[in-house]
Amino acid sequence: MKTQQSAASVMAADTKGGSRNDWRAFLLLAFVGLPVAMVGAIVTYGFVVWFLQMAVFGPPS
Amino acid sequence: MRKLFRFIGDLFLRPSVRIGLGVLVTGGFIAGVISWQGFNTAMEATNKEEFCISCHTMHDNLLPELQKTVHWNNRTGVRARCPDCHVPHNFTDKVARKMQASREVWGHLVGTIGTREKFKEHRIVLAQREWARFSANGSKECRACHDYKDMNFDKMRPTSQVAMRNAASRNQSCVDCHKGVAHQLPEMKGARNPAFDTLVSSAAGQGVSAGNDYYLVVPQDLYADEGLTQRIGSVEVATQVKVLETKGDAQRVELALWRKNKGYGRVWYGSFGLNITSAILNKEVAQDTSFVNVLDSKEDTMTGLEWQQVKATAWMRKGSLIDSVEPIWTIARASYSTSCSVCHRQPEEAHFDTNTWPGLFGGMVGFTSMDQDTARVVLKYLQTHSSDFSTTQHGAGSPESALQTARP
Repeated sequence: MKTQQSAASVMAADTKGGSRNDWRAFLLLAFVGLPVAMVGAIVTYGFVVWFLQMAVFGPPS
Repeated sequence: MRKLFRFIGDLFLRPSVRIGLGVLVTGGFIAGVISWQGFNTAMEATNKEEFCISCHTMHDNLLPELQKTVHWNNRTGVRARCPDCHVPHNFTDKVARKMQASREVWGHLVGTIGTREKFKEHRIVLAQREWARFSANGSKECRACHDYKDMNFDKMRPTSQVAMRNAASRNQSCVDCHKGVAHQLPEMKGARNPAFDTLVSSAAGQGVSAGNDYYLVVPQDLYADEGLTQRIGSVEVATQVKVLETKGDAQRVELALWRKNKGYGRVWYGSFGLNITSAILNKEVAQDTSFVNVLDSKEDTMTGLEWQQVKATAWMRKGSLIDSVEPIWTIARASYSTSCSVCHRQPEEAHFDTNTWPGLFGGMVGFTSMDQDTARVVLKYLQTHSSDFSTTQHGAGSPESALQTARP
């Protein structure tokens, strides 16, 4: 009963501009959010490797 | 905060109600391709020569030097660009280097090498970083084009063949010998050897008591007066002096050395008959009998020259003496081993005698990257550990028992 009700309310909340929300979330995530996250991950990777090379492993051999 | 987590959780875990699965996946795929290609384009753009020389420091300082070398312009038209040598080629090392470039961006903003003078002062540091990098990876970037196994040694000049075949058999790092192949070599004279820093700091902390002997860790100027205003000469590194007194910033030291009784007699040596330069005085001062005390006179049978044992006192700035000469020799030994074994096995110090070393050293030091201070210390080390001083099978054991015979 309770779960059905909350599911229904979720559905109800969804239908108010629902598909528009979905499309916006999709576009923002695919073309902005994830690319930024990808660059961030590569930048972090680079910094980590750089610091490891400086302090632990030495320059590439 | 919890709202944020819930938001992200919903975003990823709640299935889409309206949009089809295929649409979402295709859209994501296209976005991924565009992102990855964009990333690669950006990497390539920062890897282009035009990008490197867009900074004025690179354009004005390094580009003209590169243009004079074979890596810019040659018979075959095959040339190297900035990233070919300076940016590692494989992905991980390349990304690490790109992140390291943040330091260069900082330098650009702050103007670390913004003017020609600042650049010239700093370039030895930059050069040493690159040399260390090439040395660590065996000149990997050079081998992208110049691999030993693809070299036809018979097409080289005979002198080059000898060196190159040896290098190939040792799989040697190219930059060990070919420093400055694409840019000018930095002026080595002013270069600093960081090993001396430890010596200088121990000298600064050395407790000096009058009447004892100490050794110079760096060359120092000699003065006639306590105020250190009248310069009368200089004393070399590793020279033994006796400290007479210390007053404020200045120390009065006694030099007990030998000189040749020829000309002005202003070059003073550490031992009789041996050309180990210990101090150099101005002409007038060297001839001033009130300043220079001649104790003894002896003829060197090897050359027929008369040598005088001399003594003098002078003032010098304090803070550059240590009580044992061994730390200096340790640094010299290390420099000798690394610098002089790059192309051939380095000779034993005692393989030659004291007076032979300066000539040999002068002929070879140009092939190394030793700065002037290090070079002088190494030469003195070689001389004081030569066959005249050595007890190995090479040596006589001491200068006095060195058998000096002229060849017929």
